[in-house]
Order: sequence, then structure tokens, then C-alpha cells
Amino acid sequence: MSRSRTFSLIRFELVRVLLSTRWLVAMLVWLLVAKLAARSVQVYVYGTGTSTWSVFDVHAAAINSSFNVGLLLLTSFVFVACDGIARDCESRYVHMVLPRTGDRRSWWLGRRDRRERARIPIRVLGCVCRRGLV
Amino acid sequence: MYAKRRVLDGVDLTIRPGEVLGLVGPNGAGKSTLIRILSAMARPTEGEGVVLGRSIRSSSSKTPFLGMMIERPTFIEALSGRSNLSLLFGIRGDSSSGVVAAALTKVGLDPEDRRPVRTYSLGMRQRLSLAQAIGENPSFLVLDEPTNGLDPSGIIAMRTIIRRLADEGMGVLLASHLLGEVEAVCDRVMLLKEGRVIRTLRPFQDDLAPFVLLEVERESDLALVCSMSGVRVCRRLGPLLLRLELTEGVPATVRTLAAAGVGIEAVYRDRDSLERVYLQEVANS
Repeated sequence: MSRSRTFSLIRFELVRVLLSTRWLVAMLVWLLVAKLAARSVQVYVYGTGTSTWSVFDVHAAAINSSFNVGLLLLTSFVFVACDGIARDCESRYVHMVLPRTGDRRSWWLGRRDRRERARIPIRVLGCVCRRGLV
Repeated sequence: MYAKRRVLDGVDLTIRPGEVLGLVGPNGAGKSTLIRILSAMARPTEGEGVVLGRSIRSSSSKTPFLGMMIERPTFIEALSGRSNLSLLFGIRGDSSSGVVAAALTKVGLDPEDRRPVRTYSLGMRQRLSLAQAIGENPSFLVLDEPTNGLDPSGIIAMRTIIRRLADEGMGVLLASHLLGEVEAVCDRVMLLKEGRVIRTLRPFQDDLAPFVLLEVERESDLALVCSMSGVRVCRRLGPLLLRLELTEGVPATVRTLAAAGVGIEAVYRDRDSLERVYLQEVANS
């Protein structure tokens, strides 16, 4: 499958996902997790006088708390990802998309990309917080 | 095989370009599984097949590009039909507005309609589903219950579109429970039961047995026809209407009746319906 076709598939998946209610709810929860993680980084930075920190500190802070991990797992995996394929088959999306990809591997790749998007809000909020601090 | 049960067994089929093959069978006959295998949604446990030059064997990861119109289609509800098609066609790289508009026009939808799909009726969704299936001009089209939810004019339009696509050289596999529709549109019909093909017939080529409907002038003519040795009466359908088996041509049958002095009001030539054959075959097998 050509590169442009892969991007088109990802674009299709992205639009479809972002316009579904489930994902909007999940996004809100992830933003909440990112906010909580960024807050803990902020406290650490102010408390210790550290001047260098990165977006990945927010990632680390997010998975350092069992509450945050629980929320992320619950929303990313259980709520969004675990029944994704079953839902796609049930809603017949797969019948429309798979023949167009020309390759099962590419279809799986497009689907994997969906899970990657869970990191976006954490990264974005991390960038915003860093800008405000440094 | 699903859970040690053979869902399809010894199914052998070829669909040529320009041919419409109907797939008919009771629930659980294996129609959906066959469609899933042909469209690479499921892998066969054994057997061989090639769809548009691509193997459907389990080891292959490549999937053939075919148009698929499935029952109860789902689209991105918040977007218009046009945007949905644009995104779908974009996967293969041809989402130009001309292609999308042409696909929508072909199925009778307005390309300028900006309403979201959630406001569409079932019939409009079916049309949109057909548009996404045929919009990129695939060589092979799979239709699963395409007339589901359509009004009578929509059904006629769908039939016309399918025939036109076949005339343009597209191979079509049509699965439906509406036997009248299948009979009207298909070149060949395959009857499936419990995963096996129990009969294949060509509705347009007298595979459905022809017969004669005879309307006589008087009651006494009925008795006369029934007593004739050269004419076999199948059934009495009305006060003066008989169904005769067509053992020779219609002109010869009419000559025989006229020579015997039967008062003939009208004669119609007809053929068995797919419905009757279906009931007979499914019950017998």
C-alpha cells in the first residue's frame, strides 16, 4: 500500500474517531489525566527549583500514579480499544475500508494508530504547561 | 469451518465480467460466510479461490478491491454523504469532487445535499452505500440485500442500476431473500442450503419450467381439455382458467386444442417462478 493511501486511511480513521461520542468522552478523561499529571510536575518544579523539564515528564507523572493509570487503562483500553474491532465489524465499517486498503497489514496499522492518539492530549497539555513555566 | 461445523462445503463458483449471480438460501445457508470469504473478511479453512487475481487463501494478506454494499450500512453520522464518500474514496487516492458527485448522481442522490447522514432515511442510506460501492468503478461488486428498506421506485431504480453496471462489464454477486428481485435481475441463481449448492439455474434461459395458462370460453371446455390425451393439465387456477404443462410449443398446443373443438378465450405463456423452485428444492433437499 502506498504511503499516501496509508495517510488517507489514518485520516479517515481520525475523522471517524474524533466524531464519535465515545472518543469525545475519552478525550475529556485523558485531558483530565494530563492536567493532573502536569499539576504534579508543576508542584515538583516549583518545589525543587528545577528549570529543565520536558513533555515526557508529564508522561512519566501520568503513569506514576495508580489512579491516573487506572483512568488511562479504563478509557484507552476498556472503553475505546478493546471492542473496537468488534464494533467495526458490527457496524460494517470493515467491509467498506478493508477492500480499499488492499492489504490486511495496512488495515491493522491504521487501527493501531488510533491507540497512539491517546497520547496527544497529554503531550499538548505538557507543552502548554512547560511554556507557561519556563 | 466454525466450531467444527462445516459452514460451506464444496462450493464451486465462477463469476464472469458482466454477469449477475444471485445467491439464495435460507438463514444459515452460508451466504454471508461466502461473501465474507470472497471479500477477504474471513479466511477459508481449506479450498482455493481467486478474486480479481488475488488469492483468498489463508496465507495471503492481500485483499482484492471490490465494491461492497452490505446490509445496514453505517457511515460517519455527523458528516454529509458527500464528505463520507470523499473520505472513503480518499483511501485509494481518488476523492476528487467530480468522482464523488458522479457516484452520488448515479444512485439518485443529490451531490449538493449537505445534510448529515444521521438525517438520512433508510433508503437514502442504502443508496449511499451503493454509491460507495460503485463510485470507484470496481470490476466486481458484492451486494448483500441491496433493496432492503427501499420503496418500490427505489427497488426498480436499484434493479436498473445493477443491470446497467453488469452491462458495463461489472461482475455482480447479489445475495437476497427477495426471490422476485433475484429472478428479475440475475443471469444465474445459486441455491444454497446448509453450506452446499443444491441447484444453479438460469432464469432467462428456461431453467424455470415453461407452462401455458389457458382461459376457455365455457365450463364444458374445461371437461373437454381435461379429457384430452395429448394435453396435461397441471392445475385449475380459476373458474375458466387452467395451467397446462408445455410438452410441445405453444402454437402446437393451441392447434391441438382448437382441433379438439375447445373454445379458447386466451392463451398465455409463462414460466415457473424462482419462489416455487426454491420452495421445492429447499424442501426436497
